[in-house]
Amino acid sequence: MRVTDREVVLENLTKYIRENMLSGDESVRLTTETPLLEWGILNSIGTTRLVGYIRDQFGVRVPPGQIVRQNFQNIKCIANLVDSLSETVA
Amino acid sequence: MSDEFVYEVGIIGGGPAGASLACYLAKAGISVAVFESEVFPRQHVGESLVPAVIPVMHEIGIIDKIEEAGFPRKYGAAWTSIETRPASDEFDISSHTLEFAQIAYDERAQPGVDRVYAWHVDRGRFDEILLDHARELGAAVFEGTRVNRVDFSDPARPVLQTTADGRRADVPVRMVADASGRQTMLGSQLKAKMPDPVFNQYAVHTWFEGLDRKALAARPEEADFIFVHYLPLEDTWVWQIPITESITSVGVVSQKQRFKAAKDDLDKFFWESVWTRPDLGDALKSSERVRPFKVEGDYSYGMRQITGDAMVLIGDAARFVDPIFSSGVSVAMNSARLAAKDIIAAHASGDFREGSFRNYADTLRRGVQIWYDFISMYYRLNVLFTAFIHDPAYRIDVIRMLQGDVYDTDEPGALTAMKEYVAAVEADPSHLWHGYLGNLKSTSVAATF
Repeated sequence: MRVTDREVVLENLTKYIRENMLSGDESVRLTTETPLLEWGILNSIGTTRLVGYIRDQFGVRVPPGQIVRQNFQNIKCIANLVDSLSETVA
Repeated sequence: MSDEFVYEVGIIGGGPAGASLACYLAKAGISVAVFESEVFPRQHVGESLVPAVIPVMHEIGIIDKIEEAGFPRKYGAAWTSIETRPASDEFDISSHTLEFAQIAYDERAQPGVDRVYAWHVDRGRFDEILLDHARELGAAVFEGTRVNRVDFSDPARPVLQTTADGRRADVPVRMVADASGRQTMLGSQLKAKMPDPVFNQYAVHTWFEGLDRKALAARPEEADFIFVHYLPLEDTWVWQIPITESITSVGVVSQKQRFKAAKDDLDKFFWESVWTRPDLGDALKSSERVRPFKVEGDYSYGMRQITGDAMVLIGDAARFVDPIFSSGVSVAMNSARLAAKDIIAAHASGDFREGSFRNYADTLRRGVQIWYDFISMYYRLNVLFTAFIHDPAYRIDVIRMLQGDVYDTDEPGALTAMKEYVAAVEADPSHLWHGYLGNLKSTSVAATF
């Protein structure tokens, strides 16, 4: 995956999480390193939706064994996951 | 021993399983009698049907009568929940959002099904229509007649020991079908009944007049779907089933220990449960309860055997798991369909020994196992059910199971995938869904019959 693609993934993920997990609340300082799980931004229903979003948006399917803490700690981790899964697809 | 018999087949119970079997056999010219302990119409729980009943309705020729009865049409199913986000120390994002999932039956064409809906039924009326139909087709029907025991001492000539109006009568037959429902008449007599080690649910239910069914619906046109409202309590949910224009059946299903904690106070248990969802409590408060609360307990069981010499068990008398996917009447009518095939063949060959019913036992076991596993996965990892409904790769397969299209078929791919997911989540404590594993841990308990 090219660097520009990664920027797009990070941007899309950030936008999605702000709009859907924070109800668009701009007052929350959301960066690509915000601890999503610790802060309770991402919960179980949230992860099912996020996995669906990743599938629709980036065309990659997150396998059951990959929906683990280390892959969803923050937006960077999620982008890394998308990255690694796209490589296996390509 | 005597060769005499009064009827070739004696059926215990006149609900949908017994009445459907009587229809099939009477149509085939076999002399059949139904012994029903109550006098119809009588109240019964299990009011929501799935489209898998439609092929049976065609075969026994009752579909026009069901249409004419004008039961509310059921075009699909919807699930609602309230998601509570935990507050954090950093900033407060605690909030409630309403979550929805819904499916419509017309999303998937179902073999043998020529309409895009099933029905919600007042079982008092529905069961009476079925039993009357069996009578019309030539079955002898005895209401208010209880079968106390079946004497199998001559396996070629079982004798039904009946009571009606305090008078006893022995009825010799060539074979018996137990369709006694959750009473499990033969299962209990033969000590074949086994409580399910996993499911131990209770239900408290009633009817409400004037409930606003749109109150918790995402779209008004879905107001007459069956609704399953999750409560923010473990393994607890509420059904909402339209019975007429203005009457709605509502039931709370929960684990036995929660029910016991309410000390058998049905009123208290019901209202405390529904008020955990204030939107639901409000909607119910504004309507009027028109029937007393009723309880169904000791829910789930299987049987060591569902066939024997001169004997088959069908419907709830064979197995009952959980009402979550409205499988009850579908299992009843489809087990009647499958059993009828074997009984008609046994009649033709004159051999009513257990081997004649093997096809029935095998086919029903496979179908019921799919229901059972689907229900198990649902309770074990609820979040997965929602995820699969929203996943285009699995949605149609999930709808297939919700339509009740599980007989005469292999395990649906979505169910296999669900099992793989659950295994992965169970194995890895760092899995994000690990904390959402439910209490009802089934390792896909094999059917035992």
